[in-house]
Amino acid sequence: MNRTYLAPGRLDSLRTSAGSCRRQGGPAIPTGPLFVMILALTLSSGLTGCQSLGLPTPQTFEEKLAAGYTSVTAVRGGALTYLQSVEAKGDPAKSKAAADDAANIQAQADDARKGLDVARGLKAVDFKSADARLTSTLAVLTALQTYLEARR
Amino acid sequence: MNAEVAVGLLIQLLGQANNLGALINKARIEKRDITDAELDGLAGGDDAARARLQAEIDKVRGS
Repeated sequence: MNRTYLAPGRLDSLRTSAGSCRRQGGPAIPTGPLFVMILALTLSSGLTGCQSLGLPTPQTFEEKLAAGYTSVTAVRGGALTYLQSVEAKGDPAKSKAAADDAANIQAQADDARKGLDVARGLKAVDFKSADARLTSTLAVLTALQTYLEARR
Repeated sequence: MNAEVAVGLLIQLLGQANNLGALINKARIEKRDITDAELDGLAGGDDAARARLQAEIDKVRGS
C-alpha cells in the first residue's frame, strides 16, 4: 500500500497552530489533483477553530467530536467528487492514478475515524485520555492539510 | 479540476458545515450537549460516505 507519513516532529509544531484560521494564496481556481482534500481540510480547520464561516466554534468534547466526524465525511465526499470528475474525462491512466490518490485519502480518513471512535469510547473511562486522543486526531487532520498544501 | 466541479464541491462542503453548525446551535439553544444519537448519526453518515468512495475506487480500478 502506498502510504505517506508526516515527518517526525512535524505534528508537534503544527499542534500549536491547530484550530487557527489560515488564509491561502494561489490561483483563483486551484488545479492541483488534491484540491478537494485541501478544500475539505481547510473546512475542517474552520470547523474546529474558526468562525470565519459564521459557524459556532466547537467547544465541548462532543461538539469537537461532531466536527471531527463531519470533517472526515467531508474529506471522503471531496475525494469522491474529485475521482468522479477525473473519471468523467475518460482517460483510463489518469483515472487509475486518481483512484490510487483516493485510496490513500480513504486510508488516512480511516485512521482519523478510528482516532475519533477511540476518543469517544475512552470518554466514559478516562476523560483526560479521551480529550488528548481527540485533540491529537484533530491535529492530525490539520497536519494533513498542511502536508497536502505542500503537494499542491 | 474545472471551475464547475470546484464550485460544486465548495457548495457541498459548505452544506455539510452548515448542517454541523445547525446541530451545535440546536443543542446550545436547548441547553444541552450533542447527544450520543446525534453522534451516531454523524458516524453513520461517514460510514455511508466511506462506502460510496470505496465503491467508486473499486469501479475505476476494475474497469
